[in-house]
Amino acid sequence: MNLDRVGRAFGLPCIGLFLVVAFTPLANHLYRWTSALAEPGTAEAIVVLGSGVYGDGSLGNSSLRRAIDGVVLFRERFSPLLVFLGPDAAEGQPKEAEVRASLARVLGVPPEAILTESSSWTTREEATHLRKLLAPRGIRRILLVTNSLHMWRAKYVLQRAGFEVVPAPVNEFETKSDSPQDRLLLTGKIAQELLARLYYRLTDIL
Amino acid sequence: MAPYFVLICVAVTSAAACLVAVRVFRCALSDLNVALAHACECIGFSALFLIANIAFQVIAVFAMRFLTSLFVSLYMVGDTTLIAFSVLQGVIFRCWCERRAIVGKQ
Repeated sequence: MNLDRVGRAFGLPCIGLFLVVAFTPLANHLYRWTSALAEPGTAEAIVVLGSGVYGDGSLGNSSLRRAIDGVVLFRERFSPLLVFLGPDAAEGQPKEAEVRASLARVLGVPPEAILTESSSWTTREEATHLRKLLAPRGIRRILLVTNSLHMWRAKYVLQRAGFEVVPAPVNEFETKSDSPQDRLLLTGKIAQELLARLYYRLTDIL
Repeated sequence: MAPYFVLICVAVTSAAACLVAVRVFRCALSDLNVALAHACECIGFSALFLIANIAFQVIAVFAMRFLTSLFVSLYMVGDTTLIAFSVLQGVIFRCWCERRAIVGKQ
């Protein structure tokens, strides 16, 4: 077996792909094709999906952005109820949903308008637990806050759980940059999300 | 601006290295294509190692989810250090194979 040929057969396309991804606007176009657009509208609840909390109890960047967007939508009267999701980073550490709820209270959201759910680890679990939390309250139409790449998958899963979803995507990525590093990172995020969509589709079919 | 800045920087240091190789170390310019081919092979093997590492991580995550009560996130799979390790694996593998070829010729 000629190992040199094997190496070259993979090496050349890799170099080509790297140059195209880092030095052309391909990543920016891919983002536009794969991300969701906002469709503003009122709903019975604003649902802010989980993203991650650090061990010391501070919210990750993406989690903080989503939480703030949720609070802004609440303050702009898109819905009378704000639901935060997100588990703890490790057992005994602060739960993301609770940290976000505290932040929302500080930002003026009344405690009675906030619900939390801290036991979901995946988007699919979030949909199942949300249904248990919101169905008894008769809530069907939700304003969904998550990042613009994740929105397609989250909307798909929540619609299957019986919700009518109004997307309120958060832009968590640098999408118009011409920096090679930003483009590589963005492409990585897009690839990760596309694989996740494929996985969700396949597991639904199976 | 950023892409041009990177490319110009790389072009300047490459040209300087070329000059040093030819003038100081007496390397033949005609050997440059061989070096490029070897680099290409290293990158190819690194890519293969990266694919194998990611595939192994995915299998390990699902195994941990199904066999234990632990929840392990699939987002763990995208760790950047894996790229550095894969490059290291690819380069070592390529050098090792070359060594085998040299010993074989002797």
